[in-house]
Amino acid sequence: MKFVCIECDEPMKFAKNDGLDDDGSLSVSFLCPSCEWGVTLLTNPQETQMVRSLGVKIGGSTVPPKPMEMLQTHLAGQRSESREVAVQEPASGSACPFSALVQDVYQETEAPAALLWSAEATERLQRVPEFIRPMAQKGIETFAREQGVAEITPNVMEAAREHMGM
Amino acid sequence: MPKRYRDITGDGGSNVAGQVSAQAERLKARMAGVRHAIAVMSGKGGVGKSAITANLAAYFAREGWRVGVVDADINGPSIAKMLGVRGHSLNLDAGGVFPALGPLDIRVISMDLFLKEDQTPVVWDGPQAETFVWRGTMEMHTLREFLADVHWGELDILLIDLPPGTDRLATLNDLLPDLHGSVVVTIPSAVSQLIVSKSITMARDLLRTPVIGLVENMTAYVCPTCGTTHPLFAPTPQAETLAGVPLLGRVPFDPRMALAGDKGVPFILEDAASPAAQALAQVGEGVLNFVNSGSPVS
Repeated sequence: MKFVCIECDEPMKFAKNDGLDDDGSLSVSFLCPSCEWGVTLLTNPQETQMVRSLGVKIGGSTVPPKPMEMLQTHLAGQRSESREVAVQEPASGSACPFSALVQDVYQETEAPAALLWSAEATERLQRVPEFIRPMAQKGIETFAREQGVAEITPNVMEAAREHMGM
Repeated sequence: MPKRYRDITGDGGSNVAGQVSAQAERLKARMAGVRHAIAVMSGKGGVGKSAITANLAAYFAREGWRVGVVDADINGPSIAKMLGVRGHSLNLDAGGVFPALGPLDIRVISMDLFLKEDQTPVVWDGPQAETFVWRGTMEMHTLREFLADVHWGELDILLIDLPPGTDRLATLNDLLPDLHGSVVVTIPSAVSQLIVSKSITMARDLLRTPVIGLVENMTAYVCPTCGTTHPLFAPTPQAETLAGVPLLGRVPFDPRMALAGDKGVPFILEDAASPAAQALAQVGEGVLNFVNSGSPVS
């Protein structure tokens, strides 16, 4: 999928990713490099899933894909005893400006210390659709750590949501 | 003149094309260690493709070949059961998943190895409305991961057990354009042969992949007590070809073969002297001759 500015007849360039909505829709914006006229691509959940099912990440990734990443990420009801027998290779850089924006949404990183979730926040998190819940949780926890918050409450969730533009 | 898709180089930073290209390169690199990749297909369900695959794998392993088996039936996996690796834990490292090891060290990958319980179906996390939009792509990509993300090592032959459907070889051919050939399984019924002839046309005439030969499974019932044979289906002409594809062998139905599959032991190893095992060996020999000579059986 590519976008062309009709006025300038120029291919548009990726500008920003506004992340996933609660229902799994993605918002990605592109700008014309000449006139800076912009357009935002909004996917429905099925279109988002179609991209995932190709085993790709819009904007690329700063780390190589893990073995059977698509299967292990998206298969429900799978066994959990697969064992990792060697250390993952270190991350490599990417020139893609989209990568840094999407990695917070898509990528696994080294797990820091666990945060405390209040009962109300936990209950609210459970209402997030299962297939995007891990990503939502990760985004909220990242926000909480950035703010120096030790316990996640509904107020923190709301602030995180606003911070992420969701 | 407005710009068209092909007029614009690059993908504006989405990097999707680059990732798809990298996937293809990873698959190609993994398959570089595989001397022969052979599909076992039918188009028709219930003809015994997986049983034939498991026994072909055992035949080649018995010949001293390094053998791998991919269970490409994502939703109805049975190879892990037939090769006795159900419940095996999979190990992985940064380079891939290590396949389960079956009899004679046959390397096996199957969706069955990822599912939690016997009754667990394949369900994908994702929007549960209109799943037809993406489910087929998910299955295709899973097969790609089975091929590209498994530590197959050096293999003399990789057998790919395809699910029913005349389109399945086309999907595999998209992933593996250098597929060496396919073995087609049928049963002696007009209905089966009708469907199977479509698969042959797809493979040979549309995809232009070599069809090694035909296996007629469940040709007759062999009484385990007295050894006499009886037809299982209405008699059909005992043709030596179907749609121009030569016959590799006729495998009689033997209930002990089904029991062996349930136990996870290829019948060809359990009772090599039985008529069914000997027929399976004849099929294996036909495939062996093909891969050694590089030309279809005649």
